[in-house]
Amino acid sequence: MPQFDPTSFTSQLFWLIVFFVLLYRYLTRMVIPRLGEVIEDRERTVREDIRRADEFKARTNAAIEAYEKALAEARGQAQAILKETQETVAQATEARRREVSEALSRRIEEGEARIAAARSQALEGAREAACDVVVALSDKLMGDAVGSTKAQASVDAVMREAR
Amino acid sequence: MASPVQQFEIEPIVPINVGIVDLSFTNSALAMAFAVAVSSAIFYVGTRRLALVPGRLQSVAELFYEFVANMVKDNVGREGMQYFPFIFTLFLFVFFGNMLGMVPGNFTYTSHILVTGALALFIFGAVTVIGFSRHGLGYLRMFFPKGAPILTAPILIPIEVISYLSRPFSLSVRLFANMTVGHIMLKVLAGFVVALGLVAGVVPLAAVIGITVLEFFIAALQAYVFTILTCIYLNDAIHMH
Repeated sequence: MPQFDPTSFTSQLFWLIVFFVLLYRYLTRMVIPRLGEVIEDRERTVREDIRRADEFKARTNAAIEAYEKALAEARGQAQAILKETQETVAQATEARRREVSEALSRRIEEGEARIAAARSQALEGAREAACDVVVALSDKLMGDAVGSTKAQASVDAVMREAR
Repeated sequence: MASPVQQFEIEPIVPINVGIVDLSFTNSALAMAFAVAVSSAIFYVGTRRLALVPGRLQSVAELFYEFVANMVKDNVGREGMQYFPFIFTLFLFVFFGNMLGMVPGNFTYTSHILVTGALALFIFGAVTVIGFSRHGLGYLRMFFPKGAPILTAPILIPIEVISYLSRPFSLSVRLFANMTVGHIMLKVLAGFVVALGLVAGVVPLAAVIGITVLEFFIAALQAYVFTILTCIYLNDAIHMH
C-alpha cells in the first residue's frame, strides 16, 4: 500500500504543515475575529431586544395594574355615591311621608272632631225637636201639655235605650 | 484493471529536493491546496459583507463556525475557546479533505496514515503539554483516579497509561482506515461494473451509488469524530477526570 511507503513521508509532512498553517493563519486573522464579532453582535442585539421587550411588557403590566386600580377606585366611589344618594332619598322620603301622615292624621282628627260636634249638635237638635213634639203632641192629644222637664227626661230615657 | 490501491499512490507534480530531503509538490499537496482554497473561498465570500441578518453564504460560514464553537463549548467549556482556532482549522482541514476526496479523480489526503498520524501526534503532544502546564505533576493523577482503592494501582495504572498512549494511534488509524477502506470499496465495486458489462453491471452500479452516499456521510462523520475526540482529550487535559 502506498500509505506505508516512507519515501513520500517527508513531502507529505512538509506540505501538511504548510497548508495547515496557511489555513490556520487565514482563519485566525481574517475569519474568526470578524465572524465571531458578527455572531456576538447578533446575540447582543437579540439579548438587548429581549430585554427591551421585557421592559415594555413590565410597563404594560404596570399600566394595566394602574388602570384596574383606577377602575376599582371609581367603582368604589360610584358605589359610595349611590349609597349616599339612596340614603338621602330614603331620608327625604321618610321625612315627607311622616309630614304627610301627620297632616293627614291631623285632618282626620279635625274631621272626627267636626263629625262629633255635628253629631252632638244633630242629636241635640233631635232631642229638642223630640221634646217639642212630645210637648205639642201631649197638648193636642190630651189637651194637657206635659211639662218640658218631664218630656226632656223621657226623651233622654228613650235615646239612651236606642243607643 | 488498475489496482484498487493505485488511487493512493503519491506522485510528484513539481519535484523539489532540499539536499537529500524530498519536498516535492505532489498530488497529495495539490489536494491539500485545493481543500484550503475551497474552505478559504467559502469563508472569504461568506464574510465579505457581514450583516446582522446573514445572507446565504454568511449562513454557511456561520454554520461551520458555530458548529465547531458549540462543540468546543459543550465538550471543553469556556476555557477551551482559546484553542478554538486550532480546532476550527482542524475540523475544516479534515472535513474538506474527506469531502473533496469524494470528487472523482481527486486525491484524498486524509487516507494517508502520515497525515492523520501527524495531526494525531500533534494533538496528543499539545494536549499532554497543556495538561502538565496546567496541573504540573498533578496531571499524573490522570493515570490513577481519585477514590480508586490503592490495591488496584498495579492494574489500573498500566491500563490507564496504555489507554492514554494509544490515543494518537486510535485517532489517526480511525480516520485513515475509514477513508482508505471506503475508497478501495468504491474502486473494487466500480471495477465490477466494467467487468460484468452492460446488463449484470447494474447490480454493482447500484451498490456503488449506495456506497457513495454512505461515503459522503462517513466523510462528514469522521471529520466530526476526529474533532470531537480532540475536544474530549483537551477537556481531560484542562479539567482532568
